[in-house]
Amino acid sequence: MPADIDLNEERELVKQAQKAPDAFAELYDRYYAGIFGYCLRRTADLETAQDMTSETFVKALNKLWQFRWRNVSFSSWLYKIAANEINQYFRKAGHKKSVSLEELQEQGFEPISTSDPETELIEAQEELRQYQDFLEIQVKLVELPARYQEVIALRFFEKKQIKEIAEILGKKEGTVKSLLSRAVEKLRQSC
Amino acid sequence: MKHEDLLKKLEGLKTPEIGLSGHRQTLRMALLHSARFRRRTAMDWAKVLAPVTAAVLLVVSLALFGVVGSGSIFPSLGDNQISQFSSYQQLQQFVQNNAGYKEFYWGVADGLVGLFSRSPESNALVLVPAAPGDSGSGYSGTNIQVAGVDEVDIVKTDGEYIYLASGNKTIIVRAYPADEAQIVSEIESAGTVIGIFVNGDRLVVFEEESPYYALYDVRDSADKFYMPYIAPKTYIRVYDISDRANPTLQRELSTDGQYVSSRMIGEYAYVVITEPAYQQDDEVNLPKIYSDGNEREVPATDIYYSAVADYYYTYTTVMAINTQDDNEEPTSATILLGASSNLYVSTDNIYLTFPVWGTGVGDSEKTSIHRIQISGNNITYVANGEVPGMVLNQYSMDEYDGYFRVATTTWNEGNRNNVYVLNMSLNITGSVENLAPGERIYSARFMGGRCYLVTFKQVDPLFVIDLNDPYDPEVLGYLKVTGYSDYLHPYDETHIIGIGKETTDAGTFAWYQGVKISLFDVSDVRNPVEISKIEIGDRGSDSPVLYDPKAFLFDRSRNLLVMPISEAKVDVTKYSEEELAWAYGETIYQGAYVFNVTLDQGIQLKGRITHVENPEDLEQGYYYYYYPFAVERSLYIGNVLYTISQAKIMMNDLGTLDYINEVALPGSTWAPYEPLPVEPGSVEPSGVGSGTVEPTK
Repeated sequence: MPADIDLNEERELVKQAQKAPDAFAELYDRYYAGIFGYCLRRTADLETAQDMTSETFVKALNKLWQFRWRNVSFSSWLYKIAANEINQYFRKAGHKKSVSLEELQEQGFEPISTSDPETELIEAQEELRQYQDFLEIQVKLVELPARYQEVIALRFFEKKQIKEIAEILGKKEGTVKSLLSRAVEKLRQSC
Repeated sequence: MKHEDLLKKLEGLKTPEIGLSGHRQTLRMALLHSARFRRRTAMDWAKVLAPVTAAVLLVVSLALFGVVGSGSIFPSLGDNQISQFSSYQQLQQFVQNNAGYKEFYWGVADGLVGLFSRSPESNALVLVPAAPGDSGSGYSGTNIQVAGVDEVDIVKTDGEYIYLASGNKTIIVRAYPADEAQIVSEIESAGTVIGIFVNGDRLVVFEEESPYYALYDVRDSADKFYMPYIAPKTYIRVYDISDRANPTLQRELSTDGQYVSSRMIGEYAYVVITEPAYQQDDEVNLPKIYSDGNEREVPATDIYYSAVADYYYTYTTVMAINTQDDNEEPTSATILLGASSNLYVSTDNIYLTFPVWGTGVGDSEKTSIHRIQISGNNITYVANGEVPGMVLNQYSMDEYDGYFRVATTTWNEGNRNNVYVLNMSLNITGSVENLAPGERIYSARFMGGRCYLVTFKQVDPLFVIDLNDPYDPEVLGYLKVTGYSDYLHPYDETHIIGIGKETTDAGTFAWYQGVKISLFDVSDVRNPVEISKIEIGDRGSDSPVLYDPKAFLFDRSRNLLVMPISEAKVDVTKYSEEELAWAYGETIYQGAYVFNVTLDQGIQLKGRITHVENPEDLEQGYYYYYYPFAVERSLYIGNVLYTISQAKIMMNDLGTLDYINEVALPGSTWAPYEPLPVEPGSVEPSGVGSGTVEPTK
């Protein structure tokens, strides 16, 4: 994630982004890597991560005008959308390929996954395979209920502070701490 | 494994940090070109593009020059000769030799933000006099620039019916008499309706299918270079509406490419469409026109070009469609140009402009201007020329008495502003240059032999320029006041209305404040005076008129001025004195503000009309841009004022503003939406997007 961003500046940018593509582009550039990383670490699948990331930003753009500054940063709002997308994806039986491609097409976007530079994807898949420790944990984690997956991913994969996790999940910090503790215990039982 | 051990393992876990630059770039492009930005994008085209082009263009110009120097079939780029290609091979070679895009498109995808963006005037579903209608006829027309040249809009009226473009629908409403108002028919389209014309018993609908992405390999496949390309399609449908309840489709035209703008003169609708010329496997695409099911590829030998250097090329096609006679085949002319950025249409000519960026150190940016003569279905490309600087919008251009006039801003080396007069061969005959150094043009308006120009950085100079002698234009006078105008509208021959924002000086720049309407007296041209002004709201207030003059309604004979405004108020208790200058207010009202304008009394707020049903929506911040209860247009028929939002048409008495009636539109099925669940909240699926919040399990 990018370094600390002045919240006033960001607030102004979000306001601008509702009408000016260049302002939205700036927000996108700030948060793409973080959101893609989060989606990838939650799903351990590059193509799914692409879909989830696309879906997150499309939703963010479509809902931007509804974003309200309630002491919640724009970044947390994006994570929240991404978390919803991912949970929805996991909830679908058999973890089938998400519907997001169709949804995107309905909205007039033509995803490029079929014609994407394939070498990049192949190389990235190779690279992903080298994170064996991570993949072992991840495969267990996805078997847990979504609320445990989220809190573990945000804390240990995304290295978020409790305060920020609370903001993303819309829960109190105390609630997050106890949820986290329960989540680690659940994960331990399945390891 | 123990709990602590797992914790330790998790804390030290090495997680994958992998990026996919292809996805990143393509998604970025898709988002920035989405329909979301369609109606609001690129208010300042040049500004959006400037930082990118600065970086890119050097590379491009080097490439261009390299090519040109080494045996191009064209002797020199930059001369004004107009030719048609002699063969497909010549066109192919021209594109291959002269277009620089192969080298940089993908690497600097930002450049594309501007390349395909529509001109400011057409982006917003877009006067001296109003269109058909105007005072005297009993109803108001679209706020157009040139008498006799109608402009497409999302709302039209013929004095009895109101026609609306709303999403993928065109809706016909019987509007008069007001107490019997009702929807009589709806036409559904596959794509998004950009705007409409109404001409007697004919309705012309311009529609665009959402752009999608294809990737074209613009180099050898071995190099794995991809070029993202948007392939929008434009449809033009003509309906017979002699029975308003049953519109019947008479003809359907479509083209690949992006709708730029359109006008209607007499019975002819003229539409301008651009499509990039690109190379794929050594083939160069040619524009295609589909007319009632028949496809016609424009042959290379029909395509005009003038050897204007650019880093990419587009086909700009002008089509003429007879709206009354369905048997008359549409005619068209195609020119290979840079991407058109602005367009001005007089009753006899279409002027297309596009920016030409400097090619060397100290070489400023220029605007390339192309004149296309139109007369009925004859479309002829007749002249081109060039002026220094960039054009802001259609109102920066004008044709009068056999001369073309244009106001530009030069961005390089500190802003400078200029006005040029050109003859019909588009050679400069006279100019006024270097006005208001450091500032830029916010609005321009030509009225006969005069030009009024607003430039701004800290205060707003309103310049009065005399253009009666095309060989020797001169600045007659100027007025400095606070604030600026984004739009200038003639009140009468010696008075102008300015619509913009108030500002407060902050040393080296100024903070925008509320929406400001001014009335200027220019009868003493050396001493223009602001005789009246009114400011609505605090910082954060806004009006669509600032971006799209079609939202403006003015009728001098009725002393009537109506414009949609979202009014914001700053809670002064929340901010320190220092913060107050830049504090944004909260929106407290959105609606049509109705003013009384006279020379004696100045501008007075008469009343306001809102479509907002739940004031809490405003507090929640829903009002912002895509709120269906936001008033977008207003018009009058007889003594009834009609205000139009996506949700409804409301009718009020023009004199008293008393409520008469309203018609709900299909856009009104909107429900507020809760993006952030409040404690205890849950992130279980569908909290975002569907409007529901599920409780924690």
